Amino acid sequence: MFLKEVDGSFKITSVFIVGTLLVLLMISFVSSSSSIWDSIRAGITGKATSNTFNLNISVGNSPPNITAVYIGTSFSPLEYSQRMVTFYFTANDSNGYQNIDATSGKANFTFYNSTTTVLRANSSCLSLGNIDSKTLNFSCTVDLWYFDPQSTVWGVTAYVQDNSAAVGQNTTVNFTYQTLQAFVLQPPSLTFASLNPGDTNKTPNNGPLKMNNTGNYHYASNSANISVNATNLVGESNGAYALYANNFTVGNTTGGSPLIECGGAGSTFMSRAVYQNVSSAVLGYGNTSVGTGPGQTNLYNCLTLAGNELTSQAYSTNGPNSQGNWTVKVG
Amino acid sequence: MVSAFGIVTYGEPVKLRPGETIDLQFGLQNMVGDGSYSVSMQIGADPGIELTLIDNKTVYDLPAKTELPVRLRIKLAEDAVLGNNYSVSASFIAAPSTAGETLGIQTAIGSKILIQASDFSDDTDRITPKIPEQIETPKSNAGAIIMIIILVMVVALVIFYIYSRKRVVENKDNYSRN
Repeated sequence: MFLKEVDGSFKITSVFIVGTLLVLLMISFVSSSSSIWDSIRAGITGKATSNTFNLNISVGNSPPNITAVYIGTSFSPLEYSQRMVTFYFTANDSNGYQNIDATSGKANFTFYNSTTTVLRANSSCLSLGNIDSKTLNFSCTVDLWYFDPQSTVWGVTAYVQDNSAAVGQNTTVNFTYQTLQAFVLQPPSLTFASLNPGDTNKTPNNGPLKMNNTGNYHYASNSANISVNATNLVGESNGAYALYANNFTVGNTTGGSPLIECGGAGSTFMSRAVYQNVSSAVLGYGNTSVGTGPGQTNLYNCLTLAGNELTSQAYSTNGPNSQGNWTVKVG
Repeated sequence: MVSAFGIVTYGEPVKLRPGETIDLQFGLQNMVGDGSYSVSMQIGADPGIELTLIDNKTVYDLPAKTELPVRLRIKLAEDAVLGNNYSVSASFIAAPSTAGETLGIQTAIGSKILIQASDFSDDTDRITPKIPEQIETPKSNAGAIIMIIILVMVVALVIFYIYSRKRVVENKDNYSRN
C-alpha cells in the first residue's frame, strides 16, 4: 500500500482534506454553480457607499419556447381501431422551468386538403419533470383512427403555457400516416335452403355478404376493384355433379322481381377460378361504427339455375371433391 | 364470426436511386375478431426490380390481435429511368383456421409498392412504420453529470496518489539524512 510508510495522522489528514475538497467540488458542480460563486464575489466587492435610493425594475415575462418535438416519422393505421401515437416535447422558459404550467401541455395532429380537415387532439399531455433548470419534458399520446387519411404531411402541434398564461407553440414537425388496406366480411360462408333440380334464382338464406372497410383505402372500379373468385359447389358424395360457378351471379344491388341480383343490371355472372369484378361496388373509407356511410357495401349472390341433372346429395365447397372456397378480393 | 385482416403499405412511391437496394415491408394485421389465419402471399415485380423475400417464405401464420412484417429487399436496375415507377405487386389470401360451410368464403387483398427511380433514395427507417413504434425519447443530462462527477473523483484520486508518493519519498529522504 502506498501509504504504509507515511505517518498515520498524516494519512488521515490527507484523506480528509482531499475528500472534503472532492465533496465541495461535486456540490459546486451539481448544484446551480453560479449561486456559490456569486455569493463569494458579493462578499469581496467591498462595502457599498452610503447613498440610498429606490429602484424599481420591471422585467417582462418571457413566454415558454417549445424547443424540440420527438416523434416517429411514419405510423400505420390499426385495423378497425385507434393507433396510439406517443411523442415527447421539451418546453424551455428563460424564467425557469417552474414558471411553466406543468398541467398546460396540449397537442394535436392535423390533416388538411382541399376538401377535408381532420383534427385529432390530446388536451392533457403529461409532464415528465424537468431535464434542466429551464426545461420541462412532456409526454403526449394522440389517437389516430383507422379511417384517418393517408398522408405524408400530418402536422404536429405542441402547446404549453407558463404561469402568466403566455403561450409557447411548435408546429414545425410532420409525420407520415401510411395506407391500410383492410376489410371485414360477414358472414364467412353462405348457406342455401334445400334446392330442387331445375330451381332458378335462389339466394342465400344468410346473405348478403357485408363488407366493412376497416382501413383507409378507397376501393372502386376505376382504382382498386372488388372482385369475387368462384368455384363449383361439387357433390360431396358424387363429384360428377355440381352447382356450377357460372350459374352464380354477384351484384351490388338487390330487390325487384325477378331479383335484380340474379342477372339484372349491376350483377355479373361468375366463372370458375376467375376473379370477376363487381364493377358497381364501391367501398370507400370512413367510420363504419355509425352503421352507414362510405365504408360499407353489400354483395348479393344468386344461384340462377340448379341443373336438372343434379342428384340428391350435399353440394359444397368443403367436401371431399372440393374445388376450394370462394374468394372475395379487394385491390 | 367474421373474416378480416389488413395490409399496411406505402401510400407514396418509394424513391430509390438506380442500382441501389432498399429493405421495405408490408405489414400484416389481424386485429378484428378472435380468429387466426394462415396468410399466403403471391408476389412479383416489374422488370427492372430484383426482389428478395427476406423472411424466405410465402405463408405467414397470423394469430388474432397481432401485426407482422413481410420483409422485402428490392434492388433497382442500374439502367432504371429516372422518374419512372416500377411496381412490386402482392396478393394476400387469408384462409380462416376453421372450415367453412356450404359455400366457404375467404378474403384476399391485392397490394402494391411503387418504386420511383430517383436521384436520391428514401431512408427506410423514416418511411417504414415500426411494429410496434419505437420513438426517440429526449435524454436527460443526469448521465453526463454522473460521468463528470466520476471523472473528477478519478482525477482527485490520481492527484492524491501522486501527492502521497511525493510525501513518502520526502519522508524517506528525511529519515536517510537523519
